[in-house]
Amino acid sequence: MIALLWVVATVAVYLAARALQARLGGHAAANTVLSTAAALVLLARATGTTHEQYQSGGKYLLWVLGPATVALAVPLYEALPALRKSLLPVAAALAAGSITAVVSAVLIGKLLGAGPETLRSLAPKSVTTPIAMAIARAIGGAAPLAAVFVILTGAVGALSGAGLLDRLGIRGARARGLALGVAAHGMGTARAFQLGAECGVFATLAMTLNGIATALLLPSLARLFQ
Amino acid sequence: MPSESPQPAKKPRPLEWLAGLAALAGASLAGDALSRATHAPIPGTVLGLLLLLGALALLGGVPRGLAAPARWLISHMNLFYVPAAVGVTVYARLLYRDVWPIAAALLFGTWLAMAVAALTYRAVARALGERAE
Repeated sequence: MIALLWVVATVAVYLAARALQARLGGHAAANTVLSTAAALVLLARATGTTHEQYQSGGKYLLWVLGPATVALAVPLYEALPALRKSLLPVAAALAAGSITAVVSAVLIGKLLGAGPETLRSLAPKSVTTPIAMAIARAIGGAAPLAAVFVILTGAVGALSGAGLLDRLGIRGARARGLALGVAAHGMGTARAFQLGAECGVFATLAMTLNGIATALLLPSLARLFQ
Repeated sequence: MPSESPQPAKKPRPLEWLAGLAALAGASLAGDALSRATHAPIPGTVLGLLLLLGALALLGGVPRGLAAPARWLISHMNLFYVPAAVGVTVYARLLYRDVWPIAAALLFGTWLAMAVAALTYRAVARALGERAE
């Protein structure tokens, strides 16, 4: 009963957060996940609900994450013809961007003294949230930490990505889309679609292929370091 | 279920929609089963994604009953990981301890990955004589 109540509360708060975000012009800083989660944490505190009681309902929503992740095959399939236009540069940019995203996050974190669980949750930070959560779990990190790191990464990319690419003199829609998708997943891709259709399609390719490649490679690589 | 209609309607019928949703759930479960059976350290949902991609390639297109629920699930993806974000409160102490390494890794790591991806694309496209702009 309490579980069902929290499912309803989560959906209701999420819909309110969406309405608020639409009113703010879809601004990336008004991310619906973080605002919804923050409101629910306050609501749980106010009603004396424990974290276990909340998650007894929350787990049902997490179940839907599986089919939703699988659904990413549809936009990927539709974006594949764009890949044929420039296969080699796309593959090179994806490989370089994907490796840089993982290695730079882990190295910077390590140099500044982050603990092992933080590092393992930081590693998939540029991958789309549902895949990043699964990767974090597979390599001994924490899925909730990975989810929050991924969302903050997306905010960085969506808010400052276009400005950074301008400063680097990157004007091509394909290069810009790939960079936004590979480094800032769905939020970067949403931003890329605002910049143009071709930019968005290349961001979709980059986001999904980066998620698949990181999921295939990172768990095996992480094993080597244990 | 398949009945001849003179011109294909854009919106799928409810039953087609449900069948598409079932196909997505089926692919997800199949991916999980495959991941468990092979003891591969690869997340089951990613295997499910690849299975569905293979099926779409075999079909040569996206059935209309699949496209609509897929888009619907993706557009509300944020809702499905709210419980995970709520779960981060359990890690408050760890976040507090590692706040600066995390902030630096997220900020500089993301900028670095974007710069490397964009510059690599441009360099390789130019080397191949393709249009880079």
